[in-house]
Amino acid sequence: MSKLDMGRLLPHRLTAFLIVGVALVFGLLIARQLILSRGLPHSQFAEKKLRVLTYATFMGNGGPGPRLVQQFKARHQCEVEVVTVSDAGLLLEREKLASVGQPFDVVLGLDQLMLKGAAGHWRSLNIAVPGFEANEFFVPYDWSPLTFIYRRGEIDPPRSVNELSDARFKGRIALEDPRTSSPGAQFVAWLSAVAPPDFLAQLSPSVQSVASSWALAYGLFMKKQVDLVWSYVTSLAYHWEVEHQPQFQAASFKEGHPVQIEYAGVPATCGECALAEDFVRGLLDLEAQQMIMEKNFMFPVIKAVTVGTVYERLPELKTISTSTLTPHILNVWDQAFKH
Amino acid sequence: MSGTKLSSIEESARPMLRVGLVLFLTLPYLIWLERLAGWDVPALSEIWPLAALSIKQSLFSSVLAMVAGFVLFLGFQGFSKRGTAELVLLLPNMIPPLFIGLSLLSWVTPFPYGLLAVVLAHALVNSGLVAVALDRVVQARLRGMAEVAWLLGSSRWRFWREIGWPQLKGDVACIFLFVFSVCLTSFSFPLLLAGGKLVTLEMAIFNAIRVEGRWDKAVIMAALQSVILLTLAWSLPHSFWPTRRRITGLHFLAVKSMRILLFLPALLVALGWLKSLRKLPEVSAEIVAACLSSLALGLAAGVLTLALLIAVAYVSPHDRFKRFLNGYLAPSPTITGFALLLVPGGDFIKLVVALTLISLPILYRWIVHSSLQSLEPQIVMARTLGASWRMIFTDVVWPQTGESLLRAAGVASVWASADFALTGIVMGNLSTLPLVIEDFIGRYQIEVAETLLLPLVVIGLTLYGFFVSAWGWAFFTARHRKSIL
Repeated sequence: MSKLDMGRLLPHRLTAFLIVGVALVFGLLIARQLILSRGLPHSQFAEKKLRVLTYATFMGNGGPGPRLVQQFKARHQCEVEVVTVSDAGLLLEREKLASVGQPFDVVLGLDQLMLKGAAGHWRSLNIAVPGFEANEFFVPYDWSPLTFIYRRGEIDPPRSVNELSDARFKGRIALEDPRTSSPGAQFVAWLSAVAPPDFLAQLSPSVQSVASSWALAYGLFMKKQVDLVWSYVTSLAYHWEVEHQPQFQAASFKEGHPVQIEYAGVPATCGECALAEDFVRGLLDLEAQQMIMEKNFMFPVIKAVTVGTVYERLPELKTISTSTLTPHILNVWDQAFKH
Repeated sequence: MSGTKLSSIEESARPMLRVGLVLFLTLPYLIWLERLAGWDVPALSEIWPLAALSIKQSLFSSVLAMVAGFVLFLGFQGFSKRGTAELVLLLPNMIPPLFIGLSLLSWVTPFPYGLLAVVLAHALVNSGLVAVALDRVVQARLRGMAEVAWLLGSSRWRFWREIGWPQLKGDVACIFLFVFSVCLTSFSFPLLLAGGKLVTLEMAIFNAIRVEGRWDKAVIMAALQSVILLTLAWSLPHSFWPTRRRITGLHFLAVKSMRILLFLPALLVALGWLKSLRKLPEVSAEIVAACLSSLALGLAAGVLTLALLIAVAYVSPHDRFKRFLNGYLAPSPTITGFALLLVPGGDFIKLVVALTLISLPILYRWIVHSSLQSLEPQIVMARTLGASWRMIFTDVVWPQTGESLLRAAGVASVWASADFALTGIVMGNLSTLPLVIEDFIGRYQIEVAETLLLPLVVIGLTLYGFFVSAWGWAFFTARHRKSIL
């Protein structure tokens, strides 16, 4: 074949290569869809479609989301499209952007620190949950106090906030960045409620790392890089029940503990509003609450669900309410950890 | 259609295609310009410390990467299996930052979080790339002179001082700028390893969105980054970065005792990962589906990158277009991802476009630019002899740059298949393997997550192999090579 022939053939070869590439992409996507749609009920092809926005872990393989959605589909003969964001902190921004295009019907995974930023464009639900502050727009579906988790026998745990700056914890604590992690935001909000503003500077020598996410901070703790990690008290449920490792314990602070409550809400721009309300109400069913408790490793909001489970044995921590995260608190945080 | 008519169509189509490509690459900025109603420009006193810190971090990172890369280059010259060595050197560039971070964390306790950790991670990842780049430049520019210097009994030091540096300083500046731009826009390493002690411009962009919901501020800061790099690229001389690997090293310049260092970056990453391999996950339908999603995503991003690079090659050479591509920086994943969410279209397509927008400028600078640059004299000659742009592309440009374009598409596909950041924003309900890995990390199962890196690397190598080997089986067979050479 001459060089000229190659020149003539090249556009065809290039076009063919690009077409084969695109065909392969479609082939792989179809194969993926076939694997995922095995045994799906006919409701998959129903007309009504609920659009749910949540964070990735909730809908992940081990999360409660997939089963909750499947049950809802079967019960309501509708389709549910779930869109996830990897970071719960981006839920509101994602929802705001969607409202100008394809709006969502349900948003799952907002915590109380985010609710202030979420105010204004939500459908009134008025679903009361006993034991939780009434909220016209949002419905709590799980919760957990936050504290430091440690391994028994490795350290003497702190009992008050001031003890965290003790020399015995020097370089032994993993925290989460309040700007990129909701437990991190809870930590800073908690400290601003129970300690003087300059305490962060005293705390900084004890902090080995400020991780970008809870997962990374917890990973450092699991790899024994640190002795204390800021996490949920319900983390113990995983270690005790799944790993059978009772040496994992939660520190109890005399000042009390912040609580993270996860909420669901229906945006005012919803398309399937009635269906969305049913979905949110469904999160409070005993079966759904049990699923959330077992898969999300958080306390259910219906206390009866915990009877006879590992959650009954978890330490009862004194809880306090925390204020909103302000830019001022974040600036204090920055100053404390920059050096 | 007559030849003259076709030629005149080409003459008007090429500038339009160039404008189209510039508009496509700047799409995230254009979308935000159209969507944002008000622009509240942040005070200089707020941005300057962040920019200064980012520049300082990138400067230290790139200087260290250049020094380490030079040491690796000296070892590389004494290594006989150069293809393998090159792959080993480039391996850290192909592994997701999350795993590089975790590997590093498993080596040092307590880990030195902060600027030092970020600089070390950047140097570890980029030193191999610098070594390969230096190898190609030195081989092309100084091979003959190195041999003469050796015959005349010159010392290595004298060779570098009197011949090497004066000849190479322009190219070294270009390689430095490339590494600098990669470090300046790095988001994952500062996020993972800064330990709260370092807030770079890229992290501040993310914070402006996540904490303040200030898209205007985020877009302005991203544009500032782009302007810094564009200015640097504009002020640099034309770079020359040959793409073909030489079969033999330059033995005169080789420091054989440094050969062992060649494997150090890849070993640090691989052994750090192997140390934590304990639990194997059950192979579920979801994991298989996630593997297929990652393959499809990588393949689609590779195909789109290839198509765009072909368009770039077709409309080249053009001085301002070249300088734009060398200096333009895509905005951060968050800005790009959310910008594309504002336009209609399927999530998969938007994700593919977003991944391509992020990786294309870097891949152009790293792989494509030099091979296109080296063809300019041939293109000028062909035009003088009356060749059409189409003929120039098929007979001059593609046979000599096709391999590089496919390699760039291969790297784009590897990065896309391993992406966490953009996929996490745009994915909709598409679960890729990196997201499954993140899910495991989020469920207390970090050891299982680390095991899943293996299929991720296999997917990456498969995709890279698909594009790179396509040069042989689809375009440029041995028969063609024989007939041309």
